[in-house]
Amino acid sequence: MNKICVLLLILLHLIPAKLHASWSFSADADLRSNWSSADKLSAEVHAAGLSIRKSFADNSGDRYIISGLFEAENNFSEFMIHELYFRYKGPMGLWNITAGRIGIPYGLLTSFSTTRHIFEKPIEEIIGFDADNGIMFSGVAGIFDYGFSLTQGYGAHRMPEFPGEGFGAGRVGVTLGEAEEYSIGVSVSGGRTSADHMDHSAITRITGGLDATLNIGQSIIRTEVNAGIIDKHRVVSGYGLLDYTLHRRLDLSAGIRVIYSHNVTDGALFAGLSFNPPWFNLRGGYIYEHSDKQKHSISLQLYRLFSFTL
Amino acid sequence: MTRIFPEAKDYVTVNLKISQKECEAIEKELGFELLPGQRDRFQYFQMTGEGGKQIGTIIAASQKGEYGAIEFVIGFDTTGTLKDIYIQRSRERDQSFKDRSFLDQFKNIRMEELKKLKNDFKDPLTKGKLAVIDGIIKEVVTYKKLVTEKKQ
Repeated sequence: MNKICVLLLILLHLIPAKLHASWSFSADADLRSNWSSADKLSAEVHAAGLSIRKSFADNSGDRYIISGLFEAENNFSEFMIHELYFRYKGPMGLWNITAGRIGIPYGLLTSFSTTRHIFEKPIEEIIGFDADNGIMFSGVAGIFDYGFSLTQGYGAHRMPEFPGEGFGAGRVGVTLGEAEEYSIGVSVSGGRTSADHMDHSAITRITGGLDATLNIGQSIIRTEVNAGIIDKHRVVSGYGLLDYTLHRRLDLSAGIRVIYSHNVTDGALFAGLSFNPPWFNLRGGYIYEHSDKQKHSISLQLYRLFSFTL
Repeated sequence: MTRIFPEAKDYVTVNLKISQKECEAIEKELGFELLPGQRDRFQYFQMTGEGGKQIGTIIAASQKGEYGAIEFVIGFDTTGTLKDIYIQRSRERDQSFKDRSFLDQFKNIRMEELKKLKNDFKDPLTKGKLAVIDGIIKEVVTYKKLVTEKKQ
């Protein structure tokens, strides 16, 4: 990670000083309280994040972007550089080259992250992580968007060693509708990744997936299905989340998650409410999980996002 | 953006801070408060053509409808005339504000004339349509205060 920081500092100095530049900052705090039938009642600062973004424009357009997302998790017991990258942006974003610790272009990850959501997507079970060290080629062309990455396969929790295991992922998407209501994507991934966040052993993953985001009236429906071979075992997963606006400040949510792996099917159902006054989000939800045991849990989340520009 | 400026070759993102004084001046002219996330910063995109020449401005706008934010994109040419507008995201029950027959009424109107347009609608305005109108006027007034008046 130190090598990446040094490289980014060098790149920062190479950028012509006359370019227009602007800084954007955002910080968020995710506080949670959780009761489950398997564990005791708990409360924690689930995550706190700081995002910094600086873009440099030349005379024709935005050209260089530096972005970082720094996080503290689990009552500040873990610190992580979730993302830190340099992007060279082509004209109108038709093509972009991004290098560093990047978000993986796969499935719903390209537009929707559940790391701050009570009901998370099965990311670790499918591709292992949502961010990794490497390079990505991406862009938007009309109604189509695409992204292809080649990364080390360590994820964002491990300090990188060179060259790494080798992992590739890609997604091609299309956005349809007069008001861009429908987005559909096809994703593939393949290579070797760490077996676990801090595990030094590696496993082979080959997966394919379909995702869709549908805006229908007061509802947003997000779905993703995946299938593949992970560590020589067949894996199939499905995820769906429905958000329905009851009132401008109140949303109802319902979700389902199913994972078939190692000849075992695990499932989870979610029902929740979000109360969204101007200054924070208050979310609550019930999750029923079915695996070898049944587990009931109720979570309460207080979330706040701050953004500002220098 | 290419829906409004298909001839654009690139764009520059401009982020401006809004001071307390500027925020008060904008809200005074609007007659209503800016949304919490819009009181201290304003973003727009300068669209550029061949040789980096500016061909217009895009503003990605957001205004509260009945059931949540209505997000839309408006484009102005270099004379300050509204070139086009399209809706991006919304969660309204009544979706009539998306009809082109409503949105096309804003085309070819100069920035300074858009405020008067609110009084010219003969048909009853739904909450969604009012949100779009207020959103357009809000962006125009903010752009005028932070960009146009500072250039003069």
